[in-house]
Amino acid sequence: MRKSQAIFAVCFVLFTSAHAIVGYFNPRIPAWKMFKYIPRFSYEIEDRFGQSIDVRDYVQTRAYVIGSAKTPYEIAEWLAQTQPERLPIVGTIDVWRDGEVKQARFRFDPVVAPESQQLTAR
Amino acid sequence: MLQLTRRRPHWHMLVFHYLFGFALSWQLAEDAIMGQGGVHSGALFPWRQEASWLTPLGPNGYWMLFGVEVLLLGLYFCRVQLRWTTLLLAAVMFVDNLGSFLNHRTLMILQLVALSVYPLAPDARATGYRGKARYVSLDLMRWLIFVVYVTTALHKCNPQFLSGETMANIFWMVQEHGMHTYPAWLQPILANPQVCLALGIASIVLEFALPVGLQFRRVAGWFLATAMLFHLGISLLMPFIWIFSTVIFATLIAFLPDRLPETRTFMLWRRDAAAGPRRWLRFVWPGYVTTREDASLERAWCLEAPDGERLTGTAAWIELLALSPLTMLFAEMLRAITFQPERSYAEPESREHVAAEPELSAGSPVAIPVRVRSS
Repeated sequence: MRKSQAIFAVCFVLFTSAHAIVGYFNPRIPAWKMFKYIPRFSYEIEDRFGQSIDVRDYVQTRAYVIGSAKTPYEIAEWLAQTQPERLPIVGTIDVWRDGEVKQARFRFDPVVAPESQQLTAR
Repeated sequence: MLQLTRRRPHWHMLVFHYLFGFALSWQLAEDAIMGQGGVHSGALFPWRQEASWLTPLGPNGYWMLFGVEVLLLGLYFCRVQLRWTTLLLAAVMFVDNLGSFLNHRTLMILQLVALSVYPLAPDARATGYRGKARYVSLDLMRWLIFVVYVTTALHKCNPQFLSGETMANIFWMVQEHGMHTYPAWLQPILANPQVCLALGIASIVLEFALPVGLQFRRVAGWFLATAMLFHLGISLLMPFIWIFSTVIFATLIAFLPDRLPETRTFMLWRRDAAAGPRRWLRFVWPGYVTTREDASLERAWCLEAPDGERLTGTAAWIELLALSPLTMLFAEMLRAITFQPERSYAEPESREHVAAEPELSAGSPVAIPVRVRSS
């Protein structure tokens, strides 16, 4: 093994170690958090025509959408931005936790800027 | 298998190389079929929106990446300039991954970088067993798997996972959100809290045990089989992560013994049949390879190599275990390619219909305080 390869290998080990350690504390870095936390939620979203909105219609087929209860809200927000003719979009997200169901409701209106709206789930 | 590897010193690299290449190709094909291009072009929800800077490339931006990846994969399979091919492929996959940040794609990228350190030369010849530290790429794979397992296990040591709730939620969510439908007989089992707790604890124990156990040659055979069954089970319960399991199957090859050929005891393997376990034990003894004479016994699970050598016992079982998932992976890939989603993308109503609607009121409440009700 050449010296350059040895240096490369050592750098690789250091980098992967740093990646794992930093990723352990930083939630935004994809670093082997497979199934660390999975929420249990259901949602209902409707547009102004009463058409039900299914998250899976707006992501890749078989996309992994079970990791965050905020995904339906993000989809509704994205629809509010890209398809304003469907506003208002109204939705609820039920999250099961500790034997209780906590419900968050949101509404995207055609006048209020979507960026100013916040999900209220706790 | 061990004798095959002994006779073919580059077996590890070759099998890893092509199986890993298969996983890369599968990921690329699935991305294209499942609509990753729509994410890059903005037609579908821009996942986490990290790929927005690709938007200026236009709707065809993704297909440019796709074309480059196909070209590089072609070079990869032909083992042309592997050092640069793997590095470039890692770079292109990194850009592609900005649209999704998939864990297993991150793993693939790191593995490609590791492969670039000492790739298999195109003119590699079977000149003998591996030397002291020839394929450092394989060492780095071992290291990477160690880091992945340990970190994943550490992340799982949280109250939700340790209570089994995470596993229960996974199975519930997979069905609730239409990702997979479990057979009717399996649904009550997966809904059982005790089963979920057992699966959760077993996952953590295995993820701590595997990276350690795989390092010890005397017991690596057991841990290899366990790891393959573990990932096979995960993929059967969560069919959307088959590609991740394929990557792991490929990488587990790096844990097969590939040095010190004349070591008498090698992964519980004994060259001398007389010194080995009793005959009936040979069926379950991990890594046990019979001598040529002993292999004359005809058994259903006796594998014969092209040069006439035969493998029996658990060595053959391990090989069969390696082949069975591959068969299933090919079937799953075919299913993925031919899979037609039931839903079509919901299109907005026509403009005329919108115009016919009454005027919308402005200033509607945008956020309603959380309402809590008991279950």
